[in-house]
Amino acid sequence: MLKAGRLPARWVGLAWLLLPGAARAQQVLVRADVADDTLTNLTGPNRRYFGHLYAGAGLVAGARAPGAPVRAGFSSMEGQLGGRLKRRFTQTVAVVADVRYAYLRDGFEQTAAKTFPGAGRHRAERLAWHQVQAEIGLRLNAGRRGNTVGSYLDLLAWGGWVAATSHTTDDDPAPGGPAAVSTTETGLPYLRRWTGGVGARLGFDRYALVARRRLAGALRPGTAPAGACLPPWVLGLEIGLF
Amino acid sequence: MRCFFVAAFLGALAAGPIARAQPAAPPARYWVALADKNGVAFDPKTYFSAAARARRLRQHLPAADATDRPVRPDYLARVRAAVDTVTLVSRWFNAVAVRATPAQAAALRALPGVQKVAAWPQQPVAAAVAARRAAAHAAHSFGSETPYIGPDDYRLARRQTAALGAAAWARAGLDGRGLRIALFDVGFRGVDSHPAFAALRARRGIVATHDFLANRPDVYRGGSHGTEVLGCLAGRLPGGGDGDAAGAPGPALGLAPAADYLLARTERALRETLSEEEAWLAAAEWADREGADIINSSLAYTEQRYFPEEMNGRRSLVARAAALAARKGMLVVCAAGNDGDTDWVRIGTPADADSVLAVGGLDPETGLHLAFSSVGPSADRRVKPDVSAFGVVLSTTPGGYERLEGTSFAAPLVAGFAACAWQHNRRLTAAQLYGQLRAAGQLYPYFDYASGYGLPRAEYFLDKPPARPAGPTFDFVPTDSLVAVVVRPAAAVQPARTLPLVAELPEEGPGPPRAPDPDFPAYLYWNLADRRGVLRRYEVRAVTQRLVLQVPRRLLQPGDALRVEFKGYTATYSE
Repeated sequence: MLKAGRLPARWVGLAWLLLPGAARAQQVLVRADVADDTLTNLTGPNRRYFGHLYAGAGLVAGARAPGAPVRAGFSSMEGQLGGRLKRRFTQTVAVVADVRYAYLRDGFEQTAAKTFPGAGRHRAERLAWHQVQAEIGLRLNAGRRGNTVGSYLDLLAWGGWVAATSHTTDDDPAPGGPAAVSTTETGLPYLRRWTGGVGARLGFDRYALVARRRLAGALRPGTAPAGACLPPWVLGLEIGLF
Repeated sequence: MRCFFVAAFLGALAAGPIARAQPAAPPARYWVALADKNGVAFDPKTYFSAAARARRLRQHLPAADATDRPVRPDYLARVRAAVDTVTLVSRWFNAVAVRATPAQAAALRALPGVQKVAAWPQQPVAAAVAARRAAAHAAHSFGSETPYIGPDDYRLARRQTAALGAAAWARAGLDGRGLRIALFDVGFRGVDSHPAFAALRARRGIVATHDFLANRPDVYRGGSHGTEVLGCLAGRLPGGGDGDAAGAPGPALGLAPAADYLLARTERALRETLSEEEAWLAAAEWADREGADIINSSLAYTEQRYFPEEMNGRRSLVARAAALAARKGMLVVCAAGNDGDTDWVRIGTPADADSVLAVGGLDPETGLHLAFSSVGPSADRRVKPDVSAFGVVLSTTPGGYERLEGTSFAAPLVAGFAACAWQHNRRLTAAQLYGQLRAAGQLYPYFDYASGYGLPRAEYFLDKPPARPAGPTFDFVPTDSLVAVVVRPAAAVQPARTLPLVAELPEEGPGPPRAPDPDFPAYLYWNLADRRGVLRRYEVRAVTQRLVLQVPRRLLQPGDALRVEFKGYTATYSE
């Protein structure tokens, strides 16, 4: 082992080489800073904090009023894009907080009994909500695991602000007229601006089944025909982007 | 949507009677530790094979110890009666793994002889094999014809063993003969028919097989990762004959073509549950009984079950089982893992165990650490990986031969090396061999957490002294603000190579001319270690001028050591 000492006389002639810039640096082929590499992470799928983006899609479900015959299937659905922060307390208990954009669309069947959104019949008709939502949830994880999200059940409560609404109808054009006739009305006065509800999410790693129920009414009292209501459930899938 | 609810309701009605007939909670896995082994009769002569007894005798180990005794039958009978399924009975840990409901688990705790009942989690995820497939190289299908091996692949096949001293081992007549090597893997599809193993089969070199997941002897199913790993130990390139026909065996892909093999299936291809760790433990006990000298495990369990800070050799069941196997005189060789370029980065388990030889991967083109090869240290800051070998190889696949990458294949190359070393000196204990394998590393006593002590050198074990420089190859030149490392003129000479009159051939075989030993350029390795010897940082540098390194002295904290290796010479500078 060489201990630090005076510069050996035979190296004095090389001292100029050691001045900064005097010699070309030799190429580094492998490098590791162990102190940095071995820091314990506070963030990660099963660490104290975990943040990630997610995307989701769901179908509208639930009881339908004859006066507001919401179509089943892909005509009535919700798409979501959001971010989630998880704070883990134990291996089995955590809380999650989401902020997301949600686009909800309800398509309507054109029946004779339809009175909402309007009594008129069209080739197609739909209502759309552009929403900003926030959600908190209690996460219950199953089993010990490594640094993975694992299997979990989330119990959710959410609220949202309806940023924009629209009512769009498509009609058959008159002979000789334009190829299509589509009418859109925005800023609908009969839809509530605030909404909220509860839900549950059953997940495994990045995939989850989600069910949410709107508890707040979608329609402003006194502005919609009596008996009109919209299905409160959205059942769908989420994929965590991590 | 109404139909959905109707269907769900009907489904719930239909499931109702079935659900009521089952226990309230689904069965889960539990680990039941038993209190003692009092009064259990045990005769090592009948339990252990002759090879196992000989191994213990050779290493001056007792014929049996308390961990070898079976669990008490009365305890086991009570546990069997109280649960749905017993999945493992471990004499090493005096424990039983079971499937039980929470109520059954609570009842187990009250049984006499039960010391502890712990939940035993399971997580279905991707498989843990430490292998990656080099996509650019397609499989060479074989049928009735001799498989075609391209020149580059042929050269790689020769270099992967030449780098570990194949010629020197061959000259000494060492090929693993008399050693028993146990392989724990996903499956060994094609080993029973592949021409690469024709010689192995012909001499009945596969002495025992067992599938610990399905509890049957057939291991030639479930996956081909084991086939690829076995190829790096006992596989051969195409020889003079076709298929299984008698003919000259081709050149070996590994260093232990004459060893005997125990093949154990312990891993599922697409799932990773705790049952696989139980199977690993069961296989280790089986290998011990069957007289294995070396266990090769090209598996690395990581983030699906553990955190990096748990890679301390004491957390996982497989690490504890591997450590116990080492105590019983077996050398356990494990792949470091392929997470060097993922978020995990660290070695997996059981490579984290104290007495397990963890093997990292080297690039055959440069001799440097492969980015995907997991790095150390262990969570408790021990040196891992221990040594390294080529992490890109040519090996056997069910369809023929294929270029593969992964530390899965570096591990069997080193296991073959260890077999030769042990064959050379059978008096070594497993612990001594483990130490000597580290000391045989081309970088030793230098190490870093990427390559460990580097590629093991056969010369270390053979009588010939290793080709090490007679004296220093560089000097430290401290100035006011820097410590420079300057290569000595004598070490900076790059001599021209002269062809020998007759090249040394490790064995005869057809094909293109033998590739020379790997001739990597000389790199300069340096690290900075704290007073405990734990590295703060390390680098490998190209050497194109004599002034290679200038380390600012402000980086050297009190007690730190700057260690440098160049051309086999290691020196340390400290302040």
